Amino acid sequence: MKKLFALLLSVMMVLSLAACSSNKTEDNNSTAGDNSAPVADRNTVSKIAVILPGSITDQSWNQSAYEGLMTIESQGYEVAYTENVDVATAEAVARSYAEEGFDFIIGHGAQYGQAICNVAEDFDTVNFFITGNAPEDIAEEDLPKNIMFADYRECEGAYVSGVIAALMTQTGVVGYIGGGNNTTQQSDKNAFVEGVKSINANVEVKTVITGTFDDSNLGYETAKAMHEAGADVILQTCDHTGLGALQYCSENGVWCIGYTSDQSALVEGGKMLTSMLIDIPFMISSQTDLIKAGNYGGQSFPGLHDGVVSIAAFSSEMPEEVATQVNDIIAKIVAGEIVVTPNYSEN
Amino acid sequence: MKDFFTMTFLVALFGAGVRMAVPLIYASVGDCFLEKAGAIGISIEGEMLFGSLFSYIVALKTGSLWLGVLAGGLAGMFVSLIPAIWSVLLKQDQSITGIMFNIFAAGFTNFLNRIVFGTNNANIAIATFPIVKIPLLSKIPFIGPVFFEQSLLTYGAVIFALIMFFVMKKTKLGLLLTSVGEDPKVAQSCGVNVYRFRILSYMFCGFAAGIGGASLVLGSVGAFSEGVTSGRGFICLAIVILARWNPLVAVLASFTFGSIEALQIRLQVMGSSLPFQFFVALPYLITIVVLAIGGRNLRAPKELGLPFDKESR
Repeated sequence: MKKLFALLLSVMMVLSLAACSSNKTEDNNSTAGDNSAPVADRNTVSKIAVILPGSITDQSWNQSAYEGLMTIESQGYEVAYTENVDVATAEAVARSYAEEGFDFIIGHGAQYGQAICNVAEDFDTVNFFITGNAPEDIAEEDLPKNIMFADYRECEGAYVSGVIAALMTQTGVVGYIGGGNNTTQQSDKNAFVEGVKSINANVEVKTVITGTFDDSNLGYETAKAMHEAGADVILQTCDHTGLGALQYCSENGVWCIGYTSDQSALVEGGKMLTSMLIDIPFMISSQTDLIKAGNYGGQSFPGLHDGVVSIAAFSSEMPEEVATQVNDIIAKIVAGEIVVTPNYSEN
Repeated sequence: MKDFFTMTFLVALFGAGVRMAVPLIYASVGDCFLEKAGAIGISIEGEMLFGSLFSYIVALKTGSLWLGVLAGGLAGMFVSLIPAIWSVLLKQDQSITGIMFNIFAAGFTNFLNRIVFGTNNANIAIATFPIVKIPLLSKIPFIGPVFFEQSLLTYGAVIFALIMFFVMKKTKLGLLLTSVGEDPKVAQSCGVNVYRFRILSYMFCGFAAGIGGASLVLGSVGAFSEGVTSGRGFICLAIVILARWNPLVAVLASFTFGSIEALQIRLQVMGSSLPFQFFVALPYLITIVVLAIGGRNLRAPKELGLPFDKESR
């Protein structure tokens, strides 16, 4: 009996070795085929995949990417997406998409930069896109040529939010609630502080990073703690966590500023002064045209000027003269008279 | 730092601590009972998630908060049958079935949420449980505004823990419970159906965890969002060990944890040169330290975590 078992095992091992080797040759064939294909292949796009850090129902960052993807799908492309991908698994997810024949892969967040770079080096006929800046520790000339980094100036919106907060506050204290540890969030926080200080250096800015984009209860309690500490205008940039903060503001009549989409319907009594809008759907869906135009890749810096970042309609709670002043500053940023440079420092 | 020890600051701090403790109390008291019966409630994280989703749906559709709480409890109880059957009847490893169930719960509640509300739900916030001031008691300085100006869900959590303490320490059921967790063979030989007892314990713990999940949604925020529990179920497991399977100490431990969470937010609000990661990690760091110190000389139920097989020797 034992002998039979051993025999069976060894037969299986031989078979599995054979299976492996046959796979290998197939792989070799396919890569050889890819290599012989002309480079011009990179100017076409048919299958698009998006890697998302959160869930597509967060009414914010991830949902907007999903909406962009749905626009692409309605144009007749084949699309796929994976939700809740953490940084550690992003490379594996991106690699499997590339192996499955997706020719345009989007990593939705600056935190995926390194992972996408690693994959992009191995798949030079596939185009990649990062919604955020390029990894800081890689020299610009070493970045793979088939990645587009859209280091969009979200911080311009945060700067304008800071201006609004400083002009509106009556207590001299304003607050910022962030979700996590990535460059976009850090530059938002720093630009918000910069915007506030540009109007009135005496206004105090309370900042809290909750460390999570999913915990609406924590967001609620954070907004309450800020309100108790005197803050009367709060900007949140943290998706689900932020929804809890907005709920607190709605119940207690605290002025707040929404994030990525016009969230004014979530807050009662016009207390939401405005929302900083990031037109991620447009940014993502417009990439297919850029790919077809050829020479896709490099870095771009879309912002208020390009309509990727914008400021939603103001609430009726905002006085006319404040609105004029804010519009004036927006115009100056668009014209390049005020330059908001992203500041990624953590403190 | 000067405004650190003012009365208003401390009242706000501990008031927030109480609010953030409520979901932890329900789930950890339920888990105290389950662990006494010899099974570890790894699955409470997932049961809380189901509880919060169903409580939101029912409260939204019927307009009744109490029906929402009941639905949350029933949902938690119903889904707890999955880990219960797998670990009790099929005698699989409790930790593995629990973890698998939690992963399933995270995905499946997202799926249900999208079926019911679509991906573009406007996240309709519903009215939450109002604050009920207890006459006289709420007039006590400091203690009053912290403990006696809370919602009925909060008072319910403490009353629940009191009842469970009484049941576990003073009744025949409590004695049976201890025997099933300590020596299920003897219990079986005395005519207790250990399988049935453990499955019912799972269901009871699931009910409590479901109500804990409901309190997350109906307590302050008033809306479900995917993954709303954010690991609170796992914190409950630590709380139960800290509390040494005593429901009343579990209330205290939950309150401590909630207060540290409330404190870390306020420390960030006050402004500090320390990186935020330190504050975010602070509640968990303290939990680990307290477990290391307070976890010595523990006496867990003897058969905790072991599958029972009445035909084994």
